[in-house]
Amino acid sequence: MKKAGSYIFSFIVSIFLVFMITAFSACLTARNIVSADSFISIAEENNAVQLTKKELDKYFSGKASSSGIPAEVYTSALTDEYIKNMINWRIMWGFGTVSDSEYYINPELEDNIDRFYSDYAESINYEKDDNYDRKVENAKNNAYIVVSNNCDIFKFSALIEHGVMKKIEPILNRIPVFVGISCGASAFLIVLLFLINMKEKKSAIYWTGTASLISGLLCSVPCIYLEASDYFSTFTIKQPQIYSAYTGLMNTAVSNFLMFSLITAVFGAVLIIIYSIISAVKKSQ
Amino acid sequence: MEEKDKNNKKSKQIVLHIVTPFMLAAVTAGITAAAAIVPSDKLKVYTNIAFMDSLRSDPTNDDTGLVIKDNDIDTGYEGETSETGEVEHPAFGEQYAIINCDKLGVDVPVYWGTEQELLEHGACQSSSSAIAGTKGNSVISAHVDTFFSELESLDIGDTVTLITNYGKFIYTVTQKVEFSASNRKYIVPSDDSRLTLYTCKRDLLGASDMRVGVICDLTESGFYTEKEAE
Repeated sequence: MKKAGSYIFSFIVSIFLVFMITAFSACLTARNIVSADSFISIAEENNAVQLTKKELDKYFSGKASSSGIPAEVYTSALTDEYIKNMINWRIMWGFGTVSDSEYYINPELEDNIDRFYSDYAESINYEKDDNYDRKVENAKNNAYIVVSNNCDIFKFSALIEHGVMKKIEPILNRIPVFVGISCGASAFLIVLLFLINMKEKKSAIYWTGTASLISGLLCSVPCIYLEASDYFSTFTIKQPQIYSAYTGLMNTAVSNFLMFSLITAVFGAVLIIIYSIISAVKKSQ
Repeated sequence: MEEKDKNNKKSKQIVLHIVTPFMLAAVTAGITAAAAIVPSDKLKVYTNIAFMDSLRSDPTNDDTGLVIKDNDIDTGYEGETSETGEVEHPAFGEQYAIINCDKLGVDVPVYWGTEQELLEHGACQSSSSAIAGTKGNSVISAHVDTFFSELESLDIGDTVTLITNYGKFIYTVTQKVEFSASNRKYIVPSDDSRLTLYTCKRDLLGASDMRVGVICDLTESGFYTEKEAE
């Protein structure tokens, strides 16, 4: 750090190193979070099944008076297992690991609808014709649409429909590449610091440590604020299952990112301590 | 003297070691704050688009009686087209088109009729304006924090495509406009075939009284001549 030239170059390289370390932490967080399995476990941790069931109960109960179909026709077939499978299917569909045609058919739901319509037709002496078959088919399709939309707790359908997924998919698919690039770039910048400080190599340890510490602190401070203030709970999203899934996802992402940031901050602090020890030892010699 | 010089040098070194991390933190925090404005705006738009409506399968708004109908608009039609043809008039609250424009960033569903509830689902075409494919001014608006967040980035010469189930209509931006909410100059009927897109002007202090938009002239009209057998 004794010459102005090496100080300025080291300072500039350290700025880039701060961003590369931050990018590395962010990419590692994204790699941990952005996957169907991760989303499925977030849904489970945030009680998505029970919240979705409650919302469906509320919907079908509310529609009973206008449709004439008792809510139990639908809700008795919507078991916890079925809802859980639907939620998981929608998540896997969102990530493109299953196709749209692999629908989770619910035989009990279809039987309930068939039985209700049949009993009702018999009670009013209605002769079952093509129109009757069409009505039954529509009732089943609409039931599947309602259940499927409620189980789409991460709103993949809205994102896909409006072309948003098309834009972010190329980035999501390349996360492992970005992890490699940010790690490689960080290593390159550290080597560059050693080259700039050839005459006093221990300074490179100081610069690396400082960059790592600053990166860790810059990332962890906002994360701590977001966690402490429970920021995501202020989101106003109508459906409770979507609210809890989305806030759960955000909180998990923040916790992960905070963990990586604290690790880099501690790593930076350790390097600075090592630099101080080496400097003290050299001075005493 | 030498001792004093040595001590001065030592204190300068210590100060430099202490000040450097703060300087590094200030510079990187400043750059991060400046760079994060655009991605955070985009994230806000995408979040609004994802969460702006509740159940799309529930078409009836129980409070107003408005029936919102989503239609599958065929964006992949590759058959023959004609410059003239018949339009299919939608009902109030029915989706009848999609706006496709690279600069807007997302495909924008267009509903017939302007209503607060409809604006939560997509863009709205004024039901007193000309339907796509007919002569006159087709006036479409949307919220600035959802589908028309990038409207101001459109430039003269950009292409905007309106795709319906009866035809595809290509417009070219010829004018960028700014007007107050009470000024109807750009949204009144016209003699020529044009498309007017507008939204609220972004205002840091809250809702703005000003509107921003683009006027587009029709450059290509393609009514579908090959309809699928039902």
